[in-house]
Amino acid sequence: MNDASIFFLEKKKPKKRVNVSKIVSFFILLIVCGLFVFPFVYMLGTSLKTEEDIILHPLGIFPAKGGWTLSNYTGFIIRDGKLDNVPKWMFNSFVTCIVSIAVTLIICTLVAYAFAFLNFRGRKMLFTTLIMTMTIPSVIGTTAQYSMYANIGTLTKLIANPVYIYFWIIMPGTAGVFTVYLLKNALDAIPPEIVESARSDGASNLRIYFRIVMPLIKSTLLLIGLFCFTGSWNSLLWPQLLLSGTGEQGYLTITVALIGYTNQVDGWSAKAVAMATSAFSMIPILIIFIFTQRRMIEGMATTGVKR
Amino acid sequence: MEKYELTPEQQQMLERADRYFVSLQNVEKVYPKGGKVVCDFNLDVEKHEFIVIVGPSGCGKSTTLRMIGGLEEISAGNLFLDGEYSNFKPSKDRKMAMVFQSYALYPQMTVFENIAFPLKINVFPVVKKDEACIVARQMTECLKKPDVTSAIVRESANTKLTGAKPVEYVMARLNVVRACAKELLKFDWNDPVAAAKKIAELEAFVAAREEESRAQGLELRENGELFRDGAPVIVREKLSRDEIAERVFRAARILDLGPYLDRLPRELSGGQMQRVALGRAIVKNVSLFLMDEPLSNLDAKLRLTMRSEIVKLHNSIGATTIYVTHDQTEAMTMASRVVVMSKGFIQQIDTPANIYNHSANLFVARFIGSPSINLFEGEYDGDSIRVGDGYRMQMSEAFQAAYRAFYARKIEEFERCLEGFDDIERRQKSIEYIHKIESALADSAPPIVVRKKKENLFTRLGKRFGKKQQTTGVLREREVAAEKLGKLKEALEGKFTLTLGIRPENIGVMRAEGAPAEGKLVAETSAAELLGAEYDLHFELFGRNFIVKAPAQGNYAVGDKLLVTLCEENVIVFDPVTGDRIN
Repeated sequence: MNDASIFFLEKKKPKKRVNVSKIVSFFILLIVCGLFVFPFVYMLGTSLKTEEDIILHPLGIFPAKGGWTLSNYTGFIIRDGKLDNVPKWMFNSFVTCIVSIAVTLIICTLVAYAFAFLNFRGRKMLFTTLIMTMTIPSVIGTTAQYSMYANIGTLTKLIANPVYIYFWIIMPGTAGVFTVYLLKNALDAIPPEIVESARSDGASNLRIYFRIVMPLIKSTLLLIGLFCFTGSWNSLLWPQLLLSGTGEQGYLTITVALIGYTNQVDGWSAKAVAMATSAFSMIPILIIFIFTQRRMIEGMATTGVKR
Repeated sequence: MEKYELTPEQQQMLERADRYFVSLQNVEKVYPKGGKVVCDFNLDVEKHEFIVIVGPSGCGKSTTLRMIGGLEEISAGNLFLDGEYSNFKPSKDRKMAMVFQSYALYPQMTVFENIAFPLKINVFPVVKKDEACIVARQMTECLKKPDVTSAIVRESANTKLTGAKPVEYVMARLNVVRACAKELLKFDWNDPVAAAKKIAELEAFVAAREEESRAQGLELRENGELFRDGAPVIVREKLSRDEIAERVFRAARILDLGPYLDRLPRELSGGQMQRVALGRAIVKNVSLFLMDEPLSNLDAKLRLTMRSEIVKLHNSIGATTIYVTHDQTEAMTMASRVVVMSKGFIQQIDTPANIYNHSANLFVARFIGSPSINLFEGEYDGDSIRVGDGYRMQMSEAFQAAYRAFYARKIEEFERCLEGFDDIERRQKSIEYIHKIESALADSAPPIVVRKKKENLFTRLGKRFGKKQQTTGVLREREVAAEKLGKLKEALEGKFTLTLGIRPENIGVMRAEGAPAEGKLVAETSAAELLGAEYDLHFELFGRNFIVKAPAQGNYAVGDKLLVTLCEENVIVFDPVTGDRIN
């Protein structure tokens, strides 16, 4: 090997490659991430402040020296030796979420299965029609839904019954076209021979669904469950509309109740408690997300849909 | 009650249904948009036959199989399975097993679960057994030799040593059923009188059961099976866990799958996956197997071994198999009868030997055989056929008679077909007749797929409301029929050009030395492919490319002069107009 070639080789091998675009994108992501996280940090910080601290330093992210306190948290769980409303609201929200996940999964998977694997007349047209309804904002239906709720409620004298109200809170959200679409995408990825061979093995459609198909779309189902959970946990407008009729505070869901808190204008003291309850209400979503993050990304990858 | 009179056709139909195991009668498949895919399919399959349906892609062979399997609807015609009318029977009631090209294994289940799946979900006919009685008898046996039994029960507790669950260990060592093993594990072995007491209890119980079944007119055999009047009582019920395991193990043993039962399909090789798919089929214990190109996804070497394995399996379990493939070698080697299809029409149904040596038409002749048949033209003058310049084949009296009869028949058929075009009721038949003729002439190469312009809402609206294209008023098929009839008539007047075919092994070649003798055929090798034991020699003769097999000892090379002899009695003569064989 002559000198020139050695020189050439050395030049070709840089000691460390600096990828500029990677660094730039890293910083941009960091900034965006910071923007997203900041309100939560502020919320958490404020919830740990004492009353004076909030009044003196409303803009400080964290409590001033020695001002750290957990009294805002203890205050709303047990007040005057009694269980406060917050656990009740959490319970309400949990029940709503779990029931709506269950119902959504049952309804939507069956619909998607029919669209994907059953041959019936007008299948394509029906599906297109369903997809087309996605263009209509769901808020438009609110009035109609409300009048249905109110009319049936007055007729049956159930209008203020909490079970009846919760039935109406949960049901309209369960038959989601988007969910059906997601599921159908996942089902279309399953080779039809698998279903055909199960059919020739003697399995009924329900059995094919539960034994063969469902295990294959687990991650999609999980994704849908998560969407459903966050959607249901955070939904405000529709539950607020229905729940405003009940005078009872304990029937509210946590999201609806918290709006009541934060909208109070009198004094700063409630702010700390509001922040504490908000932080508290975040916990379930956070926990679920941490445990299902990997499967959720998998689900997004397999369905090919980002949201 | 008045008896319904059957027409002769209906009677014949039912006779066929009774006589054959599978009977497809005039079966057709029409897609609403894709036209007719399978036309007038008639096939009768006897028990234990290995039928191979072969044809180029898109000829309707898979569709036919799927119709038999109940995965596609039958548009017209009748399907009888085991004498039963089965057009509308759901797939699961057809008592058949299907194997797919893509194996269609359930990816989330292990090999064991895959094979066990059909067993778990179906009911099967089994001899009725008195389970309680079996348990009691086995228990008594075990209690009578307390030393052995108690030792085994004690051993079973040490799961690390035995490597199995206690119940399963006891089951295997003492050869008892699960319920009995559970009882034995619960039994208090330290109590010296307990065993004797239990034995007496159990014997009284068995005696009571025997008495009871006798009262019902049943006979309780030694192994717990119930018999009525000397015949076993058959009930349809779900199989027990142990029975399922036993059947799965039996299938796994036949297919050498033992070591893989705990694996998932994705951890297996292609050949193993195919064996699992076969296992899932044989475990169902049905007599009809439908296989849709099961070997196409395997590599060449594996395909060879699996081919013989499938045939062996077919013979050993005494099944009836309908097998679809596009590979003519598979068809030739596996089948007891081959069905050759083209463009939705059956071209020929016969044994592999007959398909090869007596191909019914040009399509079959071209499609079957590797290297393929050598085709060339010859002019027939009523006495002999002249090929190229100078080569003459004297035709026998029998051929001349067959020739005249053939063309007389064909002309009559075409005239009837042409008349049919004027009659609305018969028009469809005539069109189909022409389609069938065309399918026989089709090249065996896969058709070039013309990508259709994608339809959307606007193109569809345009079609509906836009200007209608003027139709000429004359059917294309009619023109074809008229043209062909004209050509057929020429055949009986003077000289006529025929298509001749000869299989590669019916041509003899020798190296030509010196000047060729008069009247001998000489050709120059254009390619010499050594396949190990033999050569495939390509050369040009009569203006056509020929392929011939020659022994490897010849040491042939490109440019060699060859002396060619045609074995004239093996020349097949085809009619170029309809593609059918004349002699």
